[in-house]
Amino acid sequence: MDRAELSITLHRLGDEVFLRLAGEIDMMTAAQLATVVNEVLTEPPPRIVLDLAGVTFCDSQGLGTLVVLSRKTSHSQSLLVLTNVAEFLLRVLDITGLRSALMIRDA
Amino acid sequence: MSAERGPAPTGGRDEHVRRVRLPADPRTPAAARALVRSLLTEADLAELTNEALLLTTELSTNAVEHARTELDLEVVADRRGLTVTVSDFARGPVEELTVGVRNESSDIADISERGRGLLLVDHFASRWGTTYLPAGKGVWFRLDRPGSLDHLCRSPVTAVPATAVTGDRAASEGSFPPSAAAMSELMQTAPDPYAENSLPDFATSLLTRVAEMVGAAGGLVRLDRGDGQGPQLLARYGRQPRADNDLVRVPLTVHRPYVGELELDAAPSAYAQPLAVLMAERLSLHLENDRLRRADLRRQAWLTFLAEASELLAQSLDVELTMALIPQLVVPRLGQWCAVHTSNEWGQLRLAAASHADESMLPQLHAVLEETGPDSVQSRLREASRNGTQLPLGVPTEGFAVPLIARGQRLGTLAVGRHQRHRHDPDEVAVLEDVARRAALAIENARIHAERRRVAQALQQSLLPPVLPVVEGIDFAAEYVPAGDDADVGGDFYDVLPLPDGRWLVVIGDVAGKGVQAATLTGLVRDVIRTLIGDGKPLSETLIRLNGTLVERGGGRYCTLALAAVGPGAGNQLEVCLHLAGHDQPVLLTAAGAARFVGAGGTALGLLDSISSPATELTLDPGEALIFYTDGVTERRRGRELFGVDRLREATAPLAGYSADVVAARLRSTALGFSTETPRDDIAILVLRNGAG
Repeated sequence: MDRAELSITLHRLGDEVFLRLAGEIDMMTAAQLATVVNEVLTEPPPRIVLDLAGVTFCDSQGLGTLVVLSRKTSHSQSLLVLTNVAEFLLRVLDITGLRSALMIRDA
Repeated sequence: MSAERGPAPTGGRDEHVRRVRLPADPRTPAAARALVRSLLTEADLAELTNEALLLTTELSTNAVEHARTELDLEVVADRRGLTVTVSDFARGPVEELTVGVRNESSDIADISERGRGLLLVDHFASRWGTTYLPAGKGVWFRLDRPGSLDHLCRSPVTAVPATAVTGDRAASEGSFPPSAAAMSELMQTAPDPYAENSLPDFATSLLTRVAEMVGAAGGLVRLDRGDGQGPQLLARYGRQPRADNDLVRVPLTVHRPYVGELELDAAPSAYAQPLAVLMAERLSLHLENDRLRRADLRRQAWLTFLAEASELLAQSLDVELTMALIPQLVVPRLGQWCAVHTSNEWGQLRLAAASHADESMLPQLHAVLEETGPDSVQSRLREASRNGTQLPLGVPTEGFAVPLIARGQRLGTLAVGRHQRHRHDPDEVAVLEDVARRAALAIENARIHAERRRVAQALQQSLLPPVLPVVEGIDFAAEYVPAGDDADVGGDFYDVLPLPDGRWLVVIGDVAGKGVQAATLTGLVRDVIRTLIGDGKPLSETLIRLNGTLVERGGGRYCTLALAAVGPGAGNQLEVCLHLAGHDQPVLLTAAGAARFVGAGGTALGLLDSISSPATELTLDPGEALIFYTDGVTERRRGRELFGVDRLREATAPLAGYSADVVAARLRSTALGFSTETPRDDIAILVLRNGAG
């Protein structure tokens, strides 16, 4: 059976923790992303950047996870920034009204 | 792909169908995506990939998360797009599918993490909907290739999920005319006969079936009952129909004041239109039923109101009270305010009574009613009264001016202000006219009654001597109490007149019955006695002649009479010659306080051709009194108990030694005080007393 795959690699660049995501975000893999970000937040850096260049799919579960993680990050006096957001995902963010609530950095 | 098979409405060969059953597992959405992705490639629909994968994921995630059963995934792709249906096997009540709302906040703390799945489906899908199957429920969506919609959406096929409506076989046949089963379900859907208000449920169930049959993404039924509330949503299905989509609109064939419309978010295809019309017809039948039932109920309520109003008005025999009652009846049921004007013989209107639902507005209402001028309420009222027809009042008062006419008499006008919620409907205007008619009759009746009361009083007075003669040595005193209904003339009378031989004649009588006929008979009896006595006829002959007259002219009525000729006797005594023609025996009260009934009974007058009238000779010593009375005294009632002759005798005994005036007055108050009831019969008391010494 096909299953959603998501790989996450972590880099530190100065103030930023840089998470490079590749694969699909859905009900199967969203928890994986949450786990990694929560780990980073145990010692919150000023900024966590999610590079979504390699994300081929993200559903509403993924969006919900991004909302939860952004909230947690700001509680920890940190920032969650999305970058390299694919065009379709930007449309989805527009439709759901989340674009203005999430921090999105142009590539 | 077989393009040569022509444009696709019926072409099933270029369809690609996949069905698979998947477990309730977090990996299932990815599996569903893989299946859809492969079919998109196969059907050359790669441009729909992003949307198709997203929506497939949303539906299958919902099924895994909420239904927690295996799910069936069906994907049907053709040249123009694809339809995906996700069915689960969760039994029990169907959960409400709610489309989440778009986020409006930019503060991440306010934002919900869930509820966006159907928002995305609703946004991206050309159509979507639900199907309810015996084993569970299915949610489907349709994605059309961009640009294909305009040319090809005429097909009813496009959006219909194959298994949902027409069964498995239909999918491969390509065209999905409504199945006989679906049609019969549409026809058999009926309102619950026992439900209080079954229409919304019935409309929803019809709408759901027809929307599923034509593959509508949404639909609604609007109904305006014309009750001032405007169009109301009677039923809704799926998403709100979008104005920029091709919609099926069918007006409901209902009668005024009902107006309604069925709207389906579906292309008006070969089947959609007639099916929608069919559904609208079925629904309209039941709405008509509802309209008629409600109209009937309203009319019944009005009839009850009119009956109550009539009863209230009929009970009031007082003109002022009736006038005051009318606005109380009308406000607020028929209007915010009401004013009654009476018209005098020159047609001038005078305000008699006014009422407003809001009492603080009364001064303002009075001000409006006082206005004069061509457009004022007053001028409209005058016009209504003059023409004898109801007229609408202009803005800002709005309402109606209705003339009050009874038996051809213009009595005045009834002005009623605008209804609180809406303009008067024709039923209400009719009720208003009816109220005016009844009010006018009540006013007229009260007037007639007052007139009649005046006549009765005048007549009564004419039948009784205004004053009794004052005679040396003989005291006369009389009391008269009319029966409770003072509009009637009583049958009791008394008289004291001089006899040619210097004696005096005391007369007391009771003519059977009441009213004008009794009064004419009383007048006749009184005049015949006066004439015969004046001619010097003896008492016995007078009675015989009077009897003859009554038998001849009394019309079956009869009369009892006591006649007593009284004159001075030996010493200070008075000689009394007493005749009783069927009348009660008078009480002889001695100065010592002994009371007994005296006189021999004779025949009442007017019944038989011949009568007996034995004479009783009495002497009254000084201070002795003869007390005459009518049966109004002895038959005075307290419940079932009568005042009676014994009580009368006992009541007179203590009155010995008092003047005739006092005796009569005391007896009157004793008789009246016996009961709290108003007298049913009139009461006459006449006292003749030896006033010597």
